[in-house]
Amino acid sequence: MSNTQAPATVKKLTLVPTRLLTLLSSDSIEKKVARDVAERSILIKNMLEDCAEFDQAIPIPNVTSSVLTKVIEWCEHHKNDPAPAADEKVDSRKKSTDIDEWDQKFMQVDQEMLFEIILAANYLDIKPLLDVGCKTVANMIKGKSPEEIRETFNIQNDFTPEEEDQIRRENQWAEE
Amino acid sequence: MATPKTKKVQENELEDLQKAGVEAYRNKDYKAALEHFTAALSRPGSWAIRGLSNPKRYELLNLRAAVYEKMDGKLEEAAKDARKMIRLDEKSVSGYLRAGKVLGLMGKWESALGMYRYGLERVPAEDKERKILVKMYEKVERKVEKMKSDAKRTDPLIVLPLELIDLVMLKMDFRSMVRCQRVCKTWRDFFRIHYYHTYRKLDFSHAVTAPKEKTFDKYINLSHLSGRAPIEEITFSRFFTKSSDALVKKCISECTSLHTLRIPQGLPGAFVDASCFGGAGSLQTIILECKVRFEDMVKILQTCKHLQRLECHKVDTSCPSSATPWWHEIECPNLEAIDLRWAEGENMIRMGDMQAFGSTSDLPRAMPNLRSIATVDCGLMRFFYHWNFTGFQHLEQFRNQSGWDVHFPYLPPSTTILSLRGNQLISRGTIEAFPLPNLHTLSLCENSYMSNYCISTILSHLSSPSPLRILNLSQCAGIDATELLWLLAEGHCDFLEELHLVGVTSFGDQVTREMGCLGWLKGIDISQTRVTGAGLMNIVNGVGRKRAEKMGREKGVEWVKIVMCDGVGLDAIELARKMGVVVTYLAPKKSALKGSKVRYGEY
Repeated sequence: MSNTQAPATVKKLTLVPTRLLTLLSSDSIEKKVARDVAERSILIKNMLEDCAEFDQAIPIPNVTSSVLTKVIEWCEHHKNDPAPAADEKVDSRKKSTDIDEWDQKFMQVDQEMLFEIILAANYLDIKPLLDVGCKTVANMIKGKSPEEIRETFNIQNDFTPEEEDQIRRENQWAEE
Repeated sequence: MATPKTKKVQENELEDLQKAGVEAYRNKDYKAALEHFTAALSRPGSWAIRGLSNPKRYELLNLRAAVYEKMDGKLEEAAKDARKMIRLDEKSVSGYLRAGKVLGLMGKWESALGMYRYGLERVPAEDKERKILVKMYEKVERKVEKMKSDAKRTDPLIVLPLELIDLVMLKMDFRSMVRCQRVCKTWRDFFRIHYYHTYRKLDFSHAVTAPKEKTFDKYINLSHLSGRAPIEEITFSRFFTKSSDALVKKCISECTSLHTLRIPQGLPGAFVDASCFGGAGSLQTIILECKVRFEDMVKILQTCKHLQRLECHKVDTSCPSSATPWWHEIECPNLEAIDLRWAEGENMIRMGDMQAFGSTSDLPRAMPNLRSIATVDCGLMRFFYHWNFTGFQHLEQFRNQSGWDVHFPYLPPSTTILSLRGNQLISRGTIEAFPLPNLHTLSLCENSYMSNYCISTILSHLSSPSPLRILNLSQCAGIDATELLWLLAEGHCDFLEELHLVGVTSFGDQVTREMGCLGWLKGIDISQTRVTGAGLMNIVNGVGRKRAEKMGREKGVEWVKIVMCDGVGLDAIELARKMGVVVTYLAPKKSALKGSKVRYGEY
């Protein structure tokens, strides 16, 4: 934690160019990003560990530039987050669907983008972002009626009324 | 060698062909209509002449395109005619309307929109028909937008790979997963067959009506069918009754991998009988919020040898003690946590039995790995004994709530959390305690006998510098806050991160000046005290300096709670918040807050 402030001042004073990385999106658009921000991605972090000097653009073949911009925005905001506490109970963390306010706003995008962000977070191995994305999707489903879910995801109801009624009766306790 | 017809005759012939075509169109004889219009278009009167507009040809093309629209597989032809119209006269509306309509019929709505836009750029503003084009443009624009948003709303089960769907579903509750089966066939099959974790945790805690026995049978069957994820956890619904016993029995006997069982309070009169737990060897966690007889609790401990956690929130002690000590046949080497609360009004009767916890060495032998003991309303430590828990060598947490005339317990050095909330701790005489070098959380709140002397004695048993991180002395009216801070400084509570002094009325601004010693303080709760804005600023500026330095923060303190502190002005709160401190504040009176807000608005 003690080194979070120090690098920022160093950067300001000397503007070391190697601290900036270039990421290349799938549609061949370059994004400059500070190394500590990019290293929120375990994939990139591991890549950088393998080679000391990285002056070429790093290709991110699965992620388009618009999604990459979003992901970088998230990493930028969360660059100083402490690593998740290891002693925290895994189960309680997984079950909870509380999302912090900034992340909630960040996730207010159309579904296409939301799913793209989740896929990108998975590919780039950014666990906390993946977690927030999955929570967002879960919250779109949790506690909602089947009608609401169909509307949310543009899903056609392909049950006959009798079939649907049977499922409803089978799980009466869960219905409203 | 046809004789050259006069212009008039040619025009008449065109009119006739057109009329015949329109007639055929009306009669839905599209083939004939097409022939008539094509014939008309081949007559010289409807020829296209470079540089000249020909309204007749324009009209005929429009008519023929309309015919093509109605015919199967002729949309391409219709589009060609519409394009010819636009080439013929790019200032007229009809061509664009026709072209747009045809593109729409082809499903190319975005191209149609483009066509209308192209038309709007070329049709002069004074054209009366232009507004039809504007209307069409707007209509199609809405349609395209809706289609786009529809396309973006997609079924996550289709878009996301299975391993990510798994991550999403980990965050779902059982009731939602059951309800999801009614969305569509894909979802039903997913939750029933493909996603076999659905039935791993049967959780009826959100049930709206009592789940039927049939429902249990079905879920048990479905989980057997999947074969890969047997039922591991069952939480019964709040409709649990005394006759639900059979159901518990059935679940325990049929779900051989069951490790967690939760039974909520249930309907009035609900209780659970130990006979249900026969053969429940696999159970690791049992949480009984409903009534359970003391004997049955003992039987559960005797039966479930793999138990790791037992919570009984309503232990019924109304039956007489037996002659043999109850812990006689208990052997729970894995038991880590035990949480016992007495049913209302029965806390005194079986005290003698619970004394065993602190007086016999048999229990530590029966539960050698116990890490956490929690008791509420047990009268566990009544009488004039110092209860001795040092036999539990791995004990980390000890909580006792609402005990009477409590002596400070003897605890093993492994203890990290000690909470004696609401205990009437006896401060007469010395508090003897074994050294507690690992204690990081100490709560003595709601204890009206608590005195500075008491605290100083306790602190003296901690190692120095003390590892204490959280100290809760809320609602301890008897302590003097100024002296307490001196004590904390002397007791080397250097690493204190949280201090709770809710309702400690001796806490005022003068105390805040002494708080510089708390170099690592992260947060303080001084709700319901006499502190004012000046005191708040002293805390924000003076406390937690070491922390601030290490963290590279401007201020060390992260949060201050001053709920119901009449003396703190809004300006001080505002200032503290600007400095990055989270201030939890609730005005004592709403009207007072309103008044000061108005004043703020004016300046």
